[in-house]
Amino acid sequence: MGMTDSGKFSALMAASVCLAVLSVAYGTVLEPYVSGLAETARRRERYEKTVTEKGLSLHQGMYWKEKD
Amino acid sequence: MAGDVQCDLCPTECVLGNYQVGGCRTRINKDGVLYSLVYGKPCAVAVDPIEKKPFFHFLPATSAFSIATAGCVLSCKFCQNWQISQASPDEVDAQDLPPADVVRQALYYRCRSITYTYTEPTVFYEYMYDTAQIARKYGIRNTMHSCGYIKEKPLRRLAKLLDAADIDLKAFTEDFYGRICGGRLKPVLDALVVLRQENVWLEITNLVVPGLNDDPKQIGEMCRWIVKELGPDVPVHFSRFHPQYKLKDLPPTPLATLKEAHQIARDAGIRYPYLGNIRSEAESTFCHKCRLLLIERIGYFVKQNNIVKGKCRSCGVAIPGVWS
Repeated sequence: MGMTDSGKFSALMAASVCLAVLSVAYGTVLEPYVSGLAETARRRERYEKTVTEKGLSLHQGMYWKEKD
Repeated sequence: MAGDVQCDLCPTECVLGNYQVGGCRTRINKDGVLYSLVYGKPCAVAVDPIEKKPFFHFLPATSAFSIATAGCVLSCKFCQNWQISQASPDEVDAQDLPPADVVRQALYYRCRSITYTYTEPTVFYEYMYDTAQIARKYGIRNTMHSCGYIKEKPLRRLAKLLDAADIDLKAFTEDFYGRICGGRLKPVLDALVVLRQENVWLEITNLVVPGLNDDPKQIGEMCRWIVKELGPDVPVHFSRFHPQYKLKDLPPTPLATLKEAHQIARDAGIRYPYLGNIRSEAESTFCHKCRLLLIERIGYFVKQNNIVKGKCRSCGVAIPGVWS
């Protein structure tokens, strides 16, 4: 037995809502996280090139905030 | 994922994500810990006359062992050392020179002082601090030429090891600092007051850039602030601008403009105004009381010195400065 028109409409609506929720969720939660990961990977690659290839070393920096 | 780190060394207060480098190009957040990329890696090392810094009231006619690393906390469009100050540590040729070796070389070249200079010493704070500690033990004085763009706590801590500081007061408006230097004026003024409070011998350099910070009213305002907040004995060097970096389209500062700034400073009550980057009588020191020629300079060369035990040879008045 086929779906009624209102059944088809409901299914379409549910799919649309799911898609909208997923899109918003990706834009607000996942996208910054994913692009953040990509950015960190890019920075890390540059860091490896800078520090390793140029023979630079890391020396721990001083902080003052915790001394408040 | 490692967290962000906020650098609290300079007033820019960069918040750095993992593996992100600060605006100074020299400090990096790696896995939630802040590191310096330039510790023990100077890209400029030289033995200079102390007059070149410029210090005119601090151990005249002595040599200063001078070091700098890449990087700067500001981005002045007129920077005279932009090739290294606006470069990342990986873009310059640096050598390995740990703090103990800096002091060893300073002793070898009979330098009375070590100067942290050329770029901005704030960016190599840890390197400067450790070197200064060792230098103290060997009786070598520590001086810096800085833009004064540093927060109070690190500056007070450093000041305990500093004997003298020459601070670039680039202009007396927030607009100039924002548009031309990428910073703010207020923190620099605060740093000057802190250095004075900490009894660090202080001299000020003002690079006069035609059309940008040569307004006589502004220069007068700056000089009056110096006299009021720091006292009349702080030497002020008005330096001649030469077209550089991003301001190549401007002319060099006319001598008349510099002479006017010199007179404005004198009228405001500054006892020791000087002109720099240009040969003139105003690069010599005269007694503020009897006007005797105390230190005659030709460029960085001291031709005669009439200061005896810190006093004018003629009238005996104490001359502000560090003379021995």
